[in-house]
Amino acid sequence: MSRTDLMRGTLDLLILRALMPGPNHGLGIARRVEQITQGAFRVSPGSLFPALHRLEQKGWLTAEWGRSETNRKAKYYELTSAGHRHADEEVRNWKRVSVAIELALRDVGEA
Amino acid sequence: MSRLRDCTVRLVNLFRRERIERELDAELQAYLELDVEENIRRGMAPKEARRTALARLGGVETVKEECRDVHRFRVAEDLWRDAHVAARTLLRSPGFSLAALLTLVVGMSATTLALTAVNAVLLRPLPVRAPDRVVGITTVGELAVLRKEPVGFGDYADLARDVAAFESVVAHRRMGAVVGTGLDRRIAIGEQVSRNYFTTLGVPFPLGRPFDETDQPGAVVVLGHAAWRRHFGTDPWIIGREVAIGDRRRTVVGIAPEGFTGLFRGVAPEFWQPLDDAGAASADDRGQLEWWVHARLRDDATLEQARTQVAVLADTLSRRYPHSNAGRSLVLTPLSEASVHPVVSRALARFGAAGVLAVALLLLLVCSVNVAHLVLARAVDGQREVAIRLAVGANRWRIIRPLLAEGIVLTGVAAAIALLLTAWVGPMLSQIHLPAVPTAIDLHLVPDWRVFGLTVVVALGSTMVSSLGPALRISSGLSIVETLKTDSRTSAAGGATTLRMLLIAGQATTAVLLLVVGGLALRSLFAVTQVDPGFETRGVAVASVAPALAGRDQDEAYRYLSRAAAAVRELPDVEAAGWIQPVPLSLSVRLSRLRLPGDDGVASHELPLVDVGIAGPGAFGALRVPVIEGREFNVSDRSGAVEVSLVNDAFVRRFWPDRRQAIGQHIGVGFPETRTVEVVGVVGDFKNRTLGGVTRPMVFTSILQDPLGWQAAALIMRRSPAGPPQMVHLVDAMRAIDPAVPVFDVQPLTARIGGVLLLPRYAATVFGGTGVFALGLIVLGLYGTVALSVRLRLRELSLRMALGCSRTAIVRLVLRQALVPVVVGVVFGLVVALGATRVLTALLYGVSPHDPATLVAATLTLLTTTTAAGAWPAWRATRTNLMRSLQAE
Repeated sequence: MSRTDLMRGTLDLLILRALMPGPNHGLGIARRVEQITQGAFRVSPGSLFPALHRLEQKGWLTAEWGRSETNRKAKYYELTSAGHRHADEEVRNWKRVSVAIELALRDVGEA
Repeated sequence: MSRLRDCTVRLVNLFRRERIERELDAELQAYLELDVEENIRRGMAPKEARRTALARLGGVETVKEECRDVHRFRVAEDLWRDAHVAARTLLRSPGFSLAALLTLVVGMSATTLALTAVNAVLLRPLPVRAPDRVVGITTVGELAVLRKEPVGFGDYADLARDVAAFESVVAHRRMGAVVGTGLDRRIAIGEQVSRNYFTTLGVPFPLGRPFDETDQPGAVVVLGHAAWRRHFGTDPWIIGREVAIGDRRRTVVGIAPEGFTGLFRGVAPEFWQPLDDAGAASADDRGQLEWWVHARLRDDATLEQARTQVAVLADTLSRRYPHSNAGRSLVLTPLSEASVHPVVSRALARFGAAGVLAVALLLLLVCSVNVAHLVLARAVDGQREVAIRLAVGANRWRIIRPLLAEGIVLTGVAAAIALLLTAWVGPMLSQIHLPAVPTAIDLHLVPDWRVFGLTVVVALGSTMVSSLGPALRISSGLSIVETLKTDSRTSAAGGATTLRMLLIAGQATTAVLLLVVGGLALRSLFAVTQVDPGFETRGVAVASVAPALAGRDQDEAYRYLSRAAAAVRELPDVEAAGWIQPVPLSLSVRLSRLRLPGDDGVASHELPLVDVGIAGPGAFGALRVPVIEGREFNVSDRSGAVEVSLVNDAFVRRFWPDRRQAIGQHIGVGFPETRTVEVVGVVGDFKNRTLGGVTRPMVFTSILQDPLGWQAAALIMRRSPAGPPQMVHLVDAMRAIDPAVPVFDVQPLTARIGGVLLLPRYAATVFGGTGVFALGLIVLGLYGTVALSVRLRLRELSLRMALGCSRTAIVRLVLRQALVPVVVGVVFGLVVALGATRVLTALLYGVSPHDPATLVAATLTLLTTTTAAGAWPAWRATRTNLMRSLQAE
């Protein structure tokens, strides 16, 4: 797996995670990703929108125009049921991998 | 599955682009506004808030472009632009482009030509309505000499009447008729067909009409398209006019459509005429198998039904007519399974076609790989740039795309040129004119949509090898990592080295082999032209006559032959003249069993075979063939007198080595019935079959006594030395005796026997041509390889030069490595050439297959040209500023 693929996969997972609580618009998703990663990931529009469109095309998200709290027109993204399933699966995968990596790297820092 | 869905979505999006563009704009706008709002909420001034938001959004166009990429097929959209850019790039390096293009044209042309030939012979259905419902019926059986034979006319009539599964049945056979006037008189090949022929087959008639039941036999004719074009200048007003064919004038009722050349591929009939009453009268003739029969199945009938019914009928016929039909049967072959001709088995045709195609594709593969090397060599310079682009995250596809586009443009142009070449050369190649056959063989080698489609497929395959391969390699992660490590250029192409060496060696083997064979064939051709045929060809004209075609019977013909020869001898510029058949060296050979005195009890199939001929008084004199013993034929050797013969010297040497016995012996020769003839003379040996080989024993009988000799013969005329060629007078003199007897193929003897040089000439042309071809390929291939290796080793070479190595030494260094596979290939090729002695001996005349001059010349040619091809890029590399390339590292 190349570096870009890894990044892309991570971003996709974060977006799916950010949409788990409910539908949101682009800026909202970006903010929520920042929030849930405690500011570790800042998602720029340049990678956010292509990712959203890609996920939409894969059938994991649907998009609909709606109104923000401030009554602004915005495009809202929502997880589809396939998206939910995929997100659950990805989360499980990620956890397994991260545990494995954690184990593998445990002594590195302490040595 | 999901990929399929992806593609569909993208394709649909292609048409919804406007909407997507609008949505994208709106979405980004909304994002920006929300961000601005948020910033204001955090206490920024509105101006400040907008500026921060814009900065955070980054390049709007970049974001949009990335999103667009998700949505659509860039390939389709940017194809034109890519092609345009590629063409410009290619034009900027004309040397590379020309070399690559030439190589590809060579490979593609060979492939399209082979495809066209295969298509013409195997794939293209005959231009008849619903060809899958047409079947051929042929005779098979223990009496059948060939695998499949035509049908007797009586059997045809029964097939037409009794087989319920047939809608209608046609019969056809080849025939010859004399056409033209004066010196242009010749025999045209036509077909005699049942009147339902064209309507049953459903041949469309753009001009005129097919035969119908009202047509009087002998009164009408349909012209072949090629003949109409060649002899009547595609005159549309020919319909309804009369043309002279044979002894009759016939009204032209129609022109067969272009591409329709009868039901057998190959020889295109010049005309079709309806079956005449003479043919119908032979309805109870079952012994002569001379009609080809085809039938169209009834709409509700299956092939199996037809097959059963035909088998039942054949069975009935063999019981009803045991004398003629016992032991033979009729079989049914769908038209789609028929090959060039019923006699040629389909397996053979397939095998031949597959062979031709395989060779062509192999050639294309070699060409494509050669181009791949050129592409790699050119791309090495840009490899560092590619590596950097990839490292900063460029999509691999974006690196591959321009390279692929260049490849597609190159192959596309090459394919177009190849198709044009094929369309131009094909018709020339397909019209092979054999001297012994009165009409041109026309395979109709014209590329059609099938060839076009297959060419596109093959071109794509070629692009895969010549461009996609290198492109993948250039853009592959491995070589980038390698390149980013300060220097590892030599290893970048390392993996392919063995393969490349093998390829070069293989090409060298092929090239040297073809050059050797071509050289030998050329020397052989030269040797053959130096052979003394045993008769004098210069100053001799020959003219053919066919009294039988004018309806003359045997006695009338004998009278005509005697008087015509006498009339020609009377002409002032004729020194000698006499009849002979067949004309020696005209590729026509007649054989007969020979029964020597004392062979009475021997079964006829155990008797030896000898060449036989028919001659008249004066023939050997006109040919300057000496009479060694006894006498030549004279005018009294006519029917009713003692039947006599002449034998050649080879005959006497073979059968009567003690010589004195020859004159006065009685021998039995002749076909179909053996006649006993007295030997009255021995003539000198001359070449009869081919110029090479030994002279065979030969027997001549007198033309005025031979039971078949009167039907057709050729008059040999030697002109007196002073006389200019006056062939018109000869024809006039002969026609004055009987204007109805056709005189045709009037030509110098040298032209008539030119056919014997055909094979050596073909061999020399084909092998010499392909040899030069192969030489060109290996030159291009080696050039590409050396160019590539020099680029890859530029740093090393620069270092060497910096350390004081001379330019010549550098060139020598590079060349030594490149020429190793060439030398290996040459040695291998020479070994093969020396080993193939037996095959070559059959092909050669007057030159040893181990002819040292040829071997040396071929080797030297190959080595010098390849050395030059390798030295050129090496030398050019040393001229570039090597110091700069060193500093660049």
